Amino acid sequence: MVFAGIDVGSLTGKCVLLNNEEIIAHKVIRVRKTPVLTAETVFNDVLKETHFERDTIDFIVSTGYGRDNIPFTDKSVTEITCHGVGAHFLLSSVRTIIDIGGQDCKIIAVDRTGKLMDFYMNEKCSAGTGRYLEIMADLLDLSLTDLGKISLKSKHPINIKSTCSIYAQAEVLQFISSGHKKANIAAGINKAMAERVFSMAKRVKIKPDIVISGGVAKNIGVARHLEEMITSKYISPSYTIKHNPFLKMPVDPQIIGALGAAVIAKERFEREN
Amino acid sequence: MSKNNYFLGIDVGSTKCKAIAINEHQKIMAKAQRPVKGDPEKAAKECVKQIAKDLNNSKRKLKKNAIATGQNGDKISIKEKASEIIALGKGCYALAPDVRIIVDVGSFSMKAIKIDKTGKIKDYLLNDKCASGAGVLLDLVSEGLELDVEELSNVAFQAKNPIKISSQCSIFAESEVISYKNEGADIPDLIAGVCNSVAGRIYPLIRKLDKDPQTVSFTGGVAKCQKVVENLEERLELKLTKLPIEPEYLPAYGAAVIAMNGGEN
Repeated sequence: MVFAGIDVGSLTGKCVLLNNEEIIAHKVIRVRKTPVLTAETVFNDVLKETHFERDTIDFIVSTGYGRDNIPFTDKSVTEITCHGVGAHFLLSSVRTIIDIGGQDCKIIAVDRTGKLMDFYMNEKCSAGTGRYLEIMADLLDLSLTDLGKISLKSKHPINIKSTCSIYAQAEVLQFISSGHKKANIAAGINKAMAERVFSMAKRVKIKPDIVISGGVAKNIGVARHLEEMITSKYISPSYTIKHNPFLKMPVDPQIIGALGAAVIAKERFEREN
Repeated sequence: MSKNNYFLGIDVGSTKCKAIAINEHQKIMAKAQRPVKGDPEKAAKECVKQIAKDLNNSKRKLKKNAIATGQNGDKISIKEKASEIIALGKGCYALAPDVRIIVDVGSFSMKAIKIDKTGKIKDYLLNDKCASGAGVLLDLVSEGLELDVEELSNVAFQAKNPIKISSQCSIFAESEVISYKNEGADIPDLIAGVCNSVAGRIYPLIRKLDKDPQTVSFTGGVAKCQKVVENLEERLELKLTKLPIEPEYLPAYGAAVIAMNGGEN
């Protein structure tokens, strides 16, 4: 039995093939002209790699913002559900998933079976999404990873007052032109980003274990700030003595949605047959 | 005529500094503008210098009857200040006493102000937390397409089927515009879509301030874009009252009027 999950996002398309037990193949591509074309391309790429024929795939589920109207899929499921299922499939102790994508931010709470309990999603405002960091990294001429690394050297992070990405951009430009150190500016940016995500995360009941996924997870500065804030507010000290409540994804964190879709495909198939 | 009979208003915004001198009949005698570029004091000084030269007056005398306003109004050495809300209201009333609502949309923020028939400011709404609907989107799009804001408007009038821009955030809207452009969208349709989306963000602010607006004026840098003006008129179902002043100079003019009346209130 082989199942496929296809996640068509705003910037990338992902596909995961799953057999009864494990991931057989996965792929991430940049989006094509239309969501349908993106789905088609990423699916074909994975098939080619694994030498499966299209009609040997038993069930296909699509997810992500472009999930609808893809002619060859059997079902479409929201990315919120898929992220929950995907994260739970890999790490069964996960109860909260913080996924910071290129153009959105999702906080997802699941129960011990991986079922969706609650969520909050922002896709309207660029503050607190990958886009915010992208803009700031550009201003400092740094990569997303380096924006994280360099901030660890800071002793006096700058303080960004605005939430709006556009206003914050103007503030950062002002700090750059008045000669502040790159490390301090980077640390201020990561702190502002983490605070924004934290303020969204507060709308969902946060429980350990927690996983931070999406491209922004690669910025160690943001991840650390966020972990500190969440730990001090929501995690009891007795818990942190025994475990680290923050888990790392054992696979590329970008494919969690597609993986969840593939897991749902498998469950659906088993229920129907 | 005494050389002291000039009143100066200086509006130090986020990107531009604008100054206006009026006489005792509230008539505009000279005006100047300079980019702020991180140094508001310098921009303001240059504006005053230019006006002093044009009026053949001394800078010192001009500064005696001067009021500063705008986002960076507190960063220059003119001591008397007025809030931008009051400057806009007073300026609008001096030019068009029938107007009850003045809407100002600049690069980064928008304001709507309600004025009563005696010129008093009754209420106002302000959006300075989020740049959605502000002029920055027009700036970004005009940069991307290498057209200035007025040209942008001219091109937009050739549109047949304006494209709907679905993003609220100006940053996301810019990406949306770029992806439409890359997909080969018709440029006039695309620009018209951007103008409609800006107007669509301004409209609710006005309706929130007044459920049944009657006489409305629209000012600030965004008001230079006729396509936004037209779309806003369609949404409001009324003709906007045109003020006899370039849209971006209204706060400076209002500050000058306040200076003439001997300060705020």
